[in-house]
Amino acid sequence: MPSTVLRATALSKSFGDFHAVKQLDFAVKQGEVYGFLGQNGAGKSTTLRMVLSLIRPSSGNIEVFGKSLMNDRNYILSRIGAVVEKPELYGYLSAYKNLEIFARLSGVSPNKDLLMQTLKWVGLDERAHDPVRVYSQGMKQRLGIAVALVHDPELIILDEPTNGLDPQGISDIRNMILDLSRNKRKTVIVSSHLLSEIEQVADSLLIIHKGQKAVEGEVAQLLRPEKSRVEWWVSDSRKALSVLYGKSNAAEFNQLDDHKFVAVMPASETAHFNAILVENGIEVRAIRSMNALEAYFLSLTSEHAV
Amino acid sequence: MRFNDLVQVELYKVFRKPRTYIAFAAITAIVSVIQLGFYADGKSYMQFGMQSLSDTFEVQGNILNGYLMTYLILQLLLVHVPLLIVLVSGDMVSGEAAHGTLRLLLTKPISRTKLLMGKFTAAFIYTMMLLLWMAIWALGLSLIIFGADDMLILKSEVVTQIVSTDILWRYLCAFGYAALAMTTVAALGFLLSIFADNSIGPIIATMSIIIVFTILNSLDLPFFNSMKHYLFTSHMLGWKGFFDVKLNEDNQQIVGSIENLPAILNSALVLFAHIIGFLALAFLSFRKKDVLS
Repeated sequence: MPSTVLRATALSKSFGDFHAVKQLDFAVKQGEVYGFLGQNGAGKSTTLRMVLSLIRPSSGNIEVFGKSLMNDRNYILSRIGAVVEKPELYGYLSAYKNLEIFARLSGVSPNKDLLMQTLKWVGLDERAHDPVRVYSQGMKQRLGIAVALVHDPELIILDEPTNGLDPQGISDIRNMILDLSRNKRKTVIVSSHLLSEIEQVADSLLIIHKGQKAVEGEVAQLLRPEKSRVEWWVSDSRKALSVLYGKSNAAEFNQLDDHKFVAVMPASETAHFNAILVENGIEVRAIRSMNALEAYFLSLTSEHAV
Repeated sequence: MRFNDLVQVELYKVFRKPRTYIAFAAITAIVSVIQLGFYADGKSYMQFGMQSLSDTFEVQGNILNGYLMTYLILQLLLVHVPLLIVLVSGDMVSGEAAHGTLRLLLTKPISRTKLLMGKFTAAFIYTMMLLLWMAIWALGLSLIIFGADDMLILKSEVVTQIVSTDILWRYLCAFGYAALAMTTVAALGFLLSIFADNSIGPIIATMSIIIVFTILNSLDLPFFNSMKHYLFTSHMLGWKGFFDVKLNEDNQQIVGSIENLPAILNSALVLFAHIIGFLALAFLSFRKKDVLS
């Protein structure tokens, strides 16, 4: 059974009267990609900054590699690589020089091979000696990841790594995360407010809402296919529901208006339900099957917002 | 990471920024302009200045020499050098916060105290290099251009003549004292840079404090007089004390003497206490600082 790399217990942070994080507990296992999911302002960055000792918790405890962050900060940070929000680097220096500086600060004696190898892994070896100020946002993001990885850390923390990137950039970062986890056997914590991003890379996830844990679990468990949320636009929703009731034990229905209803149901039964409605003379105008995790996330956050 | 490596990294960053060279260029330009001006028209200027003396005394020799030039330059420049010092020291932490690199730095396995120590050491080395540059340019070049001779210093009621062989060590002491004064300014700028997320704030705040304190110094009111001793700006021009020579019973100068060494040491102590105070406050604040930038 994989050991626990990071454990946060009753973690809280307040800024004056504002409680950014409240009594948060979570644990990250070795070798997994752990997704940190929440809306903007939910408390994700504050939590990750506490893990990186950028912010002092108001209360609670953080243990990394079995040691207390309060007592063994430098030891713990020597085994962590991090990109916190946008990775701002020294624009007047080249990527190579930036990497050399941060390698030294990470306790590594940088040699040319190591630096170029790291830059090659993030696809920046050919632009290694260009000043960073001329880099695109995506290139800066990749350089930030190179800086996080240059000292070969065991735990990598990426806070909103796809923010501001184009689709190609997002895809590149996603592939890097998967490569780090699957091939390099690193433990990765990645935060995002984009459900699709977390869903595609994470093994486990924590949904945080208004500073509190909404749910924590394995993505495979949370993505149960029998719990898809399917929205139907039909000619008569009341009639449609009367036809469908009793056709599937697994389905839960909720009428939204005269032409719209929602079914929480196995995605595999969508075609079957459609056929029943058509056979009964009900016009089906549109069907939208929502991502299971997205539905789950929306239901949780709307539930907490009430 | 070894402390030396950390200082090297910080110095590398300081000297890769164009703003660092503004100070060196400014000192070079100002000193050169003053020297050029005196080289072109200095003799008539000195004759005018010595008018009141020449009625009573016969003054011989090279009055407008390198030593006097350096004294004049230092009087003019040391008032303005704080701005050049704080350009760098006020940017050391706030500049990193403004560019977002502070959070990256603090995720590295270096204690905040050590990081701050490395940054201040780099700011201190920059300050010393700037003063050394000023010393070389003002003293070295002035001696080459204007030559060496006894130095006449005109004060409100007194004319002091210091023999040429008794001057150089005074300049060494004066530059040493100026280093202490400028380090105080650097420490203040450094302290203020802890609290800001942009470079302009600490630079303006430091200069504002210096200007306000200097104005308070110049106000001869009992209320302000009581606090003057505690204002570091009251002690920043203490280097001039090294050019006050002690007299013997026959009213003859004692070569190698300083008229009021305890006063200079007292001023130096006040400056040193300010440096310690500013840095202690900076370290305490930085250790507890939440990095939100």
